[in-house]
Amino acid sequence: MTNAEGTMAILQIVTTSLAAASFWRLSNRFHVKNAPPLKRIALAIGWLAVGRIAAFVDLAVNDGPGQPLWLSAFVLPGMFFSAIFATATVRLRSRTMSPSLRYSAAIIATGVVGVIWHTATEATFSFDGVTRTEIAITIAHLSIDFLLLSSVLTLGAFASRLKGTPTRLVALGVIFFVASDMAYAIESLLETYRFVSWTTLGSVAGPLLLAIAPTLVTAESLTIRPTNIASDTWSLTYLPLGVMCVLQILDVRDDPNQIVSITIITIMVLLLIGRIQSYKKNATTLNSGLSDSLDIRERELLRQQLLNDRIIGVAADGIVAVDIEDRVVLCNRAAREILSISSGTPTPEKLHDLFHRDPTCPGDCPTLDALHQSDRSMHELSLDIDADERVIELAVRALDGPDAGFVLVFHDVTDRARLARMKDRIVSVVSHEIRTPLTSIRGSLGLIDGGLMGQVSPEAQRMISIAVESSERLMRLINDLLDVERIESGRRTLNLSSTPMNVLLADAVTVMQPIADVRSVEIEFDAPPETVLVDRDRILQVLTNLIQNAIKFSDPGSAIHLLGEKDSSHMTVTIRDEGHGIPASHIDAIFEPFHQVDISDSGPSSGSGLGLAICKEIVEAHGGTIWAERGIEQGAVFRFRIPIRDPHPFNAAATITSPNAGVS
Amino acid sequence: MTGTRTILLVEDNDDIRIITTIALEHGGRFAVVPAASGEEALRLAESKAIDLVLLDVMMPGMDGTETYAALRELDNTRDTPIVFLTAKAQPTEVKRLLDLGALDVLTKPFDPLEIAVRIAGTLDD
Repeated sequence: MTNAEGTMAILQIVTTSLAAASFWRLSNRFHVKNAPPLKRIALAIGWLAVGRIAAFVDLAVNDGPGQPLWLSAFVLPGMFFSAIFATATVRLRSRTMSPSLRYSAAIIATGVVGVIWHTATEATFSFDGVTRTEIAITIAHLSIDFLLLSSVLTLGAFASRLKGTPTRLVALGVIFFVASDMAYAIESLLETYRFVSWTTLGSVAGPLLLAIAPTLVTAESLTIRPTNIASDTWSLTYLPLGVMCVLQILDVRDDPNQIVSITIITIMVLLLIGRIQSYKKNATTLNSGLSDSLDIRERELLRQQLLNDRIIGVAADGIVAVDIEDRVVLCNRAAREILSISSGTPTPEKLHDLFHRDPTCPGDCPTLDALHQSDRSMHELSLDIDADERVIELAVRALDGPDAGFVLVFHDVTDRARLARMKDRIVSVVSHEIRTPLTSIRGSLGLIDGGLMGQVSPEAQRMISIAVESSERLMRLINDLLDVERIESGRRTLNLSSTPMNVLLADAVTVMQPIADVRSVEIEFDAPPETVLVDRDRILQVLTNLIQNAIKFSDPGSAIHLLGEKDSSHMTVTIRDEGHGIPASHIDAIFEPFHQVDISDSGPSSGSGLGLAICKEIVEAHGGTIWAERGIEQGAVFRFRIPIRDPHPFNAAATITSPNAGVS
Repeated sequence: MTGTRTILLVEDNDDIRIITTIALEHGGRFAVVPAASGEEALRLAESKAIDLVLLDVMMPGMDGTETYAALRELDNTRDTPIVFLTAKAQPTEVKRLLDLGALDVLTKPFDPLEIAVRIAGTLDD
């Protein structure tokens, strides 16, 4: 044994063992249904590795392939490997190749086998001194190598359905191995075989690629979609192929040229069968083809459903679905947690019992009403859970369809609600506590200012006036700050209700009439009875703020005009006075917080500068706009425009998609 | 001017009650019957002829709304005009009080002299 031969033998052993180990490891890494039969492939390569070791021993003992040839350490394990590998990939093929692709592969394979066989056998038969046994072994050897080549076709098709790099590498490795092995089979028959030559390099490169490929495999690349193939397809495809092989073995001795005609006849038969199969397939599409695709769709649906279940399961919000009869059909984990249903307890069957666990309650209670309120975006609901008050923020949506129910999505806002309530109390107390002493201050100053406490010096009188003005300003500031606070806390939840516009204007006028009377200012108003979906209190605040402003800048005897106008989608409200108007330079900035129009004769009427900013906040919270204009002749004009929303906003989508939307 | 009118002033805060009393009684147009609580106001209303009630809203014990309802139950004050004094200036609160049937709503802080003018105006109407 030369050094080169030893090195080659050891390289073969190492690469082949590596390939076997690599596949074995891969088979342990993944347990994926429909994956290639990896363990079997690993075992096949393992056989080959055993053969390599035997060959090494053979080399060391006999100094070359020992006799007889068919017991050679190369041949037997190599054949085992080829057979096992090929059948393993045949199994794979049944799940990966479409019937038409398989026919094409079979036809090509038949042609290739015929041509190669013809060439190979002709060469060997023309060589003298070859025994029948040797020819039989060589033919068997080559047959199995061809089988192995057909697995390359399978792997190619397999790769086309996957992210195929690892599979293509395996196919390439097998090609290297087959090339080397075929060369060996023929060379050893012709007794021209040399252990170290360019042809034997394939027996190192092939296993090396087989060793590398599995390391590139990811879980994703192992999952394939199955294709079910009718069992009779197998016999129809391989019967002609098998017959051809038998005929070739029997007839080849008499006339090697017959191989060509046999091959052509076989190809014709295969084409014929392929055509029959495709007719058959068309006829049975409903039975097999469609059911195949249905099967795939079902799996896809199942997968999607499992994913949906998981998403709903881990959602941070409580999600409860009920059918039309209020039976709970879904209640996720967060919902059970928020509603304090302990893990062992079954979910109550009825919606009411889930949220209102009072056995004495007949079921038709305000809690149930709140759970059915699907016309509001989100509302808070106070629950009594195990004698513990819990506040949830809840959105209820009706499902589409005739027998659909509701979906309730909610989260626990108990802490927020408690804080908000505490804040409201503090704000209320503080505002009252501040106003009371301020009223005393303002009152005392008023009495002195009015001369009821006797005559004061002109200087003192001036000081008193300043104090009066400041106390009033302080009061307005407190009011406005409280308003800002209310808007801040209420921005999330506008308390929307449908209100006729003329009623809103009338209410605002009622509130402001006494103040207008004191200043001898008339208020006129006109508005359509159309309803708008607004937070009534907030819009009333906007109106009174604007009216108060108008009164402030009106001369006695003048009038303020309020007008509500409706177009297809919006309501525009105009408040016009007959005062001095707004300086042009202030028109845009007037709605900024703490902006004040400095009018020298406005005197003590000046406010905190927040009033109009508050109006803007409120109008914009309604999705509207507010702006100021200079009157045509005199006075100031304030306008705001708010959308007249569908009172059932969740039906809005349906309304918008209708072609008649906007016409009515 | 049709002589001195009697005003029942219901206000729990001593300072505001005194200041308002001085302002109203100045000039001799009004005589003020002060009451420091709703309960006291009801007692006084039973025994005295009242032309107008000035009623604070936020009071300990009976609050303004309750006192209003109770006054409306008394024969003496069934139809007497009632004006609320409130520290809550929100339009909705003012609207609520007006909807109860109050003649007027005055928000704190107020100019005591303006009150006198306003009350005189409403009584003369």
